[in-house]
Amino acid sequence: MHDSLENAPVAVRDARKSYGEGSQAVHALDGVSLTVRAGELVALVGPSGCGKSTLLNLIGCVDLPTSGAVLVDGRNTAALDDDALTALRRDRVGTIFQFFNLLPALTIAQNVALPLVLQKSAKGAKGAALDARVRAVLDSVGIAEKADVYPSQVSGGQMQRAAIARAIVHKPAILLADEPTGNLDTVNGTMVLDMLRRLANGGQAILMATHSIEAAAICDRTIRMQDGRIVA
Amino acid sequence: MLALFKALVLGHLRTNRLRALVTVFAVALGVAIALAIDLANATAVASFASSVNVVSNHVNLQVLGVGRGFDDRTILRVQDVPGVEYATPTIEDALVIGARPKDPFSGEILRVLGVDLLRPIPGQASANVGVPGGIATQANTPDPFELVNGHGAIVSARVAKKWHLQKGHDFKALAGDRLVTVRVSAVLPEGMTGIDSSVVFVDIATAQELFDKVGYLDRIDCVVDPAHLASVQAAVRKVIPPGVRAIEPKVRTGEIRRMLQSFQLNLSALSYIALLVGMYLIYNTVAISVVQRRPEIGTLRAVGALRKQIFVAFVGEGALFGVIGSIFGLGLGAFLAQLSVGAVSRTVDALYVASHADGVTYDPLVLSKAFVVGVVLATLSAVIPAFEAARTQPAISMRSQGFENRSKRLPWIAAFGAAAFFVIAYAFTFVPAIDGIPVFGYAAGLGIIFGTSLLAPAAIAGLSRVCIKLFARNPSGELAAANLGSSMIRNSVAIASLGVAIAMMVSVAILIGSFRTTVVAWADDTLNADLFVRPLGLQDASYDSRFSPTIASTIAKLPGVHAVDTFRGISVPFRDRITTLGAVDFSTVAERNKLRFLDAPDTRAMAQTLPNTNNVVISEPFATRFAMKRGDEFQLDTPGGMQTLHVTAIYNDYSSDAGIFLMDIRTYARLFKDTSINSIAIYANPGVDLADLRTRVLRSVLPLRVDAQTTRELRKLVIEIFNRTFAITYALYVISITIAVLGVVSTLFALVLERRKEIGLMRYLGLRARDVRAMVFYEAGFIGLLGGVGGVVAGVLLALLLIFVINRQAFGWLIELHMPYDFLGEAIALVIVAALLAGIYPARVAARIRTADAVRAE
Repeated sequence: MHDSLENAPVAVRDARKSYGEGSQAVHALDGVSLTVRAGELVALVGPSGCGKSTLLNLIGCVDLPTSGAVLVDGRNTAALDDDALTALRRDRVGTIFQFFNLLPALTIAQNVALPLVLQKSAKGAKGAALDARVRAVLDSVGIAEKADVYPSQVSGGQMQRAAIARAIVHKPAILLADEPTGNLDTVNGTMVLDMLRRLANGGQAILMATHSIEAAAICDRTIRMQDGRIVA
Repeated sequence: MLALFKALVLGHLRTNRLRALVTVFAVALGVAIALAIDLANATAVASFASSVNVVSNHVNLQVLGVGRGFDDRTILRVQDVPGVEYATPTIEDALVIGARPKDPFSGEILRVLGVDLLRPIPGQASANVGVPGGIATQANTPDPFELVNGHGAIVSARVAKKWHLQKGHDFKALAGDRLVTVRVSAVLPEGMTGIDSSVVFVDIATAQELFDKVGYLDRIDCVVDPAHLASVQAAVRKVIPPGVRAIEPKVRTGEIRRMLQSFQLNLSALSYIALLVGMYLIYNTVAISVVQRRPEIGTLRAVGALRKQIFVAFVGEGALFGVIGSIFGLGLGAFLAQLSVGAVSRTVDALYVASHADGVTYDPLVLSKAFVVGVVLATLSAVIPAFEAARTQPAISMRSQGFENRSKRLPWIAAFGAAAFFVIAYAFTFVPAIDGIPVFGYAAGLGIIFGTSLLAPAAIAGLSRVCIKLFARNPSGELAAANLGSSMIRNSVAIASLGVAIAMMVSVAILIGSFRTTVVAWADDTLNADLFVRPLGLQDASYDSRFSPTIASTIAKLPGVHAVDTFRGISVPFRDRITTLGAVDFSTVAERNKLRFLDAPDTRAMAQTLPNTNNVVISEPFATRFAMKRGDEFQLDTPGGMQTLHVTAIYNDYSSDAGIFLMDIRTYARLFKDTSINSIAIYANPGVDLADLRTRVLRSVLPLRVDAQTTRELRKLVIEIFNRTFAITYALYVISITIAVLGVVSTLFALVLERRKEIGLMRYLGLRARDVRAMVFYEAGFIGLLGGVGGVVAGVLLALLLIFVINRQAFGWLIELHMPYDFLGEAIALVIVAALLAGIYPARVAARIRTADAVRAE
């Protein structure tokens, strides 16, 4: 399980994350190691405050470990400066949020296109195929007809599907999902889980933090955390 | 980048239209005010240049006299100088039409330009009349005989319409104290560019006769070969009399510009305060945007937006406000300039020099400057909130709503910054002016403004803590106090912008109040004659209105008259500026106690030593402006030759910051060959009925037209001129306060929207709609209280700076400080009321929030 670290989309080695110093220090992560391979759907479960979100933040390149290593697509995040970290996040990580976090001022299609637009802006790449790619992804999550409406005009399930589309539109190495069904009803929750399963079957590495038993049940394996450590 | 801008800025502005509009309006207003004042200032200066160009824009050398003018035979020598291609004699004077007794502001001054109307002017080969603009159409051609021998005049269409004049009609007007009759020989068509509508053209011979200047000229306008200008100028100087100058027209314009520099700079500085308040509002708007959009920024950062992209997007928001606001500001400013140009030119007319400002001169440079300043300041205002936005951590996207970062250290850090600004400002007050401009004084003013602004967080923290305890049994008050402290940054900005506007109002009110008290005391001390006589008609700073020479002796012989004093003033060029030379009878200085000397010289000895000598006394502004003190000497070019004048004493004077120096009337007559006078002060015998004496004075000089005022009337006139001078200042600070109150509306509205869920939850928990309304009003009141108190404190500091540093350096005036305590209390009350009014709409919105909708997402 710990072999070929450089090739795995995500590899975490003895990662620790502390906040504060000395006797005031809070150890959010305490020596966590894990690997997520391509095509694998992994559930991350545990009680609130166990360190799930901190681990997602480290893998999502929005935070850095106090010690240990976090490799995303083979690159050690601790060795990167803010811009490089942002570029890695932009190009190789996709994130699905519990509260969808769609930008209300943009249409669904524009929201989905954002990672590609940001890549294009940073790299000066041609964007001729951008629209086609966005339409295709929206089609794949079943909301192609909602492309030109605003987030406030669609349901919660459609918003989360749009959020998934935005998370995968740039073909990330790792897809992070933070309670993706936490804000949805059962029908929409099931639909989103089916979608994640299909993505994993297609080769996408996915790490999903969840409290939901149904969500964990569809995963290839479950990592249980407690007090900043992996316990099972 | 465009997508980011659209995501973060454009969409948000669409959903927050009211705040966006308020901000754009504030920028537009700020830019408009600054532009209106700049245009008025530029127009006042440009009008002098146009009075030269009105004859011909080819004129590149002028021979200029002072006082009554110079010998008209000079032109014969000037036009014979090799290289002088064209030379025309000119008289510049004024007629007053429609003047009424006892009303010095009645009627209209017509600027009379006497030129050789029978000579074609350069560049107008076909014209048979030397008036610019080519009016010699078949229907409108003036009769040459009438122009030369019949007091013929060419008037503008505006003047013709206003005073019901037609070609061939005669009209009566005052030339000094004499009523003269002039015939309309032609009317200039409307809209002739470069020609001021108050200008009346007459032939040079007519002008000499009308103004009792037969044998004299005021100037000669020459066209010389530009390639040899310097050598021709030197040659001309050799053939002109002493005291007469041969200069390029731009030299004179430069002298006038420098004379008006302090007045115009002070006005501009005040106008830019409105723009500064607008900057606070932009800062506020962008800062609120950042706080409201923090989750979106976090999301964008999470999906890969770089810090610099976020930064640029928000700076772009400021720039967008700047561009749109400035575009509207240009339109509004161009409109307001039509009002301000009148106010500015009236002051310039009354205090400095007769001006010709007619329409607004829309100088593209001034317009461009206003636009660029508006955009740059708006962009700069957004830098700090944009930087704050760029610092947003992507992890924040995991949260469901935005919040303002709370920092317990902020009040302390800001207070430390405030202390630093105050120390720097204090140090700047000791630095002298640069070329008469109190640069460091203005910088100290900015230091006080920024320093007081930075005290806002500490004041909020303190008031919030006190009021939470004070309102422990009043949920609305307690919540408002807590809210005040929890939204420290944006409340600080609202309070600071309100404070800046109030500070401006307070400081200007203290300055004006102190100045008025000082001027009244000065007028009481120095206006101690019983009657003051002047030629009937408008009074301005040109000294064009002169008495006939015999009038003083006629009045002196009247029964009941104990003595008369005369005054003659002329504008003279001095050290690249224009200043005033006054001629008085020094032998009566001690007896009449007319002047307030600064260093208590022996006035009885002065009465013996000053008459008929080259000793002069100088006003305090003259001493400051030209860095002179008692005992100094200076050179003056006069028609009697180059003279060395000795400064015998310095006296207190508030009539003009351009400065004035007084010489004995006998010395003046000898050096300037001029015995005319501009005003007469009459000292009556004890017990004489002044109303009766006035009637006798007016009758004694008939058919000459004079007006006589009592001391009380003259003092009233001094205050009236004073109030007119500062009228525009009041308008400026009312506008600044308007912008600041808009800022309070914007802030309160944003706070209500942002706390929508919170308010909904509180309503769910039992807070009544009226409690919510009360909460918003409490918060508005807190903002008003802090803005008012802070504004008054900063205003008092600014007033001290204005009175003891800026005015002293810029104008040379020492003003006695008079603190209007009642007004200061009223100012605080006014701000609280204004803030409460600003809270009405946000309070209504807050009270309407539906509980179920607001808490649904929770």
